Amino acid sequence: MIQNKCPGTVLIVGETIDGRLSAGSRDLGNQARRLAGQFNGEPVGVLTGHDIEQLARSWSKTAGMRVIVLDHAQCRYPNPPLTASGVGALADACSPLAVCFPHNLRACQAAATLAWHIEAHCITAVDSLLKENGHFVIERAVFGGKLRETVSTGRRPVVLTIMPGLFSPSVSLEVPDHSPSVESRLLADTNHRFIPQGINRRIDTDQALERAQVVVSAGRGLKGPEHTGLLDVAAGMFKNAAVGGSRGACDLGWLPHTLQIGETGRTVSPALYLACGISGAPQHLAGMRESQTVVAVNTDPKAAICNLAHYAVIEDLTVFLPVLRERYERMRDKGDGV
Amino acid sequence: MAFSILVCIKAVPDLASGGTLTIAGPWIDETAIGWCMNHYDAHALEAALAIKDAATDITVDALSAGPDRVRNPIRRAVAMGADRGIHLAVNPVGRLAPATAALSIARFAKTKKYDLILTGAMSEDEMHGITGPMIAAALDLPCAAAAVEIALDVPDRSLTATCEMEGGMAEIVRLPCPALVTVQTGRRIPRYPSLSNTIRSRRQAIERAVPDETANHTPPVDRLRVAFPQQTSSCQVIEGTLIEKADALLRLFNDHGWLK
Repeated sequence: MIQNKCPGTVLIVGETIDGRLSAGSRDLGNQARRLAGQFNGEPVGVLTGHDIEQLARSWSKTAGMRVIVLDHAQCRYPNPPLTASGVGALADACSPLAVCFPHNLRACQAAATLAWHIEAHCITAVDSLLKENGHFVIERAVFGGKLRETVSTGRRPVVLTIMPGLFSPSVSLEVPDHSPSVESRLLADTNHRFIPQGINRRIDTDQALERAQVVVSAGRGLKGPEHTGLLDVAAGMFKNAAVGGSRGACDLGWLPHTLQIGETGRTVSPALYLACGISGAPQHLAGMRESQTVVAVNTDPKAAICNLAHYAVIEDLTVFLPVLRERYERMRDKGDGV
Repeated sequence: MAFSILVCIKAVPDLASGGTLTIAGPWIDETAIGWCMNHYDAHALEAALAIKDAATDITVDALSAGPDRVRNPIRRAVAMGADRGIHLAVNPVGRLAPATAALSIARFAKTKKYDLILTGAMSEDEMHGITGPMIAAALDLPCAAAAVEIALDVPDRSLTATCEMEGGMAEIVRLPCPALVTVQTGRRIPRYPSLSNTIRSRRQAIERAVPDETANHTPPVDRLRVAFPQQTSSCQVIEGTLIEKADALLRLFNDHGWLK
């Protein structure tokens, strides 16, 4: 049980998807001790799901924190209203310093609902967190990563959604030797107005994107569907490459949605990620940030992708990719290096 | 049976038509840029208009809260096919915080008894993703976030929403109406204004509603500053002519053994 008067608690709220930890929750667990350290507090995990005690034990062990399971048959998939009411009851009982969710739109719904009911500040997509003079100073991307905003709050608790990789590398530190406790609670059946009906899984025709050594990916900088062929031509230079796209390029119909890389699409971690005309919105970075080498081709040297990239070429991709291919062929014809 | 939909629209800086951001004080210079309809809200409006197209006796109101600059996106919403445009004349000092916007809109919507409220899943500028769920919380409505499809069952007064989750999964949820759904971009491209609706949007007055600004929710967070992202030194910008840049990249790719 969380005792009353434990003002140093930071609630770390994880979610499960059909009995497994969501990617954001795994990352949040790994950051839990450092995150709580920023608040001078102790992390307490809260995991929502159904029949997940085993999973909760392993999450608790890896993250090095006590975990409270909030169990409900309607939590097999993230259920924002039930999560908000369950976490709200815990927050009422223990007055935490902060409540942290992983960042995604569903967790934002749970965070917003919770914050509304407990009259807390709700700050989403947090990618930097400091404590200054008793206030939390928080940074987040705005305008799709074109600008960074800094806000501050002294209110407690504060409700946050945390971007993956807030602390890099995102591995848990100072995990205690003993196994922290795991406690299970049944969530009350309070919400009959959000009724899960079923799941649609995207049918990926193949795993080519996930298995590719090189991913050639394009965003709105592609300028139109007539240029998609340039991506295939560029991908053709590599031994094992696949083509992907940002949400912007897929929404515009230039590339199929099945090739979308990002928070709500596919997650890739190739040896080389060639980001062509991609500005680097946080939602896109969430799907490719584990790539080993990132090369950005972009007309804007201030594009957010350049912050993650190891190399940048400041050019229009529709001009640069044909030249790249032409030079590649010349190099091959000569049969030697460039 | 009549069914009424409210679509909440935010005016955001127009970057698609070549506008650039400049910083002034703790935020951007709002006088140096044009304003347009938030892209996500255009998708919410399109979802409402598609529902209206498929059934009879459905009305769509488009509302935006803020200073006079929100009137252009409202007019655009009417030109796209909304029955009425409503300007909720909130005039905050500085930017409208999500909780403040949510409370103003909720107080307005409560008097109108809408069957369905739609918002974009987030705004392009501030990217909070919480205003819609906060309106739902303020009105005690069931809420589904990040929907890519909404199917309405008018006789049953309920809807099913297909909502995006991580890794390309989507969950189908049923909500009894009245309800609030936040709409994700993607499935339908927002329509262009028709000629007849454009003419109507010029003639038809935008209704002006004065917000109930009695007790507020929580005071907003302190917005300290915005800045362009600092370029990390680890990013090496490859310089030279087009050919030199191409050759430098090819050398890098070749050294790693990635090339065929």
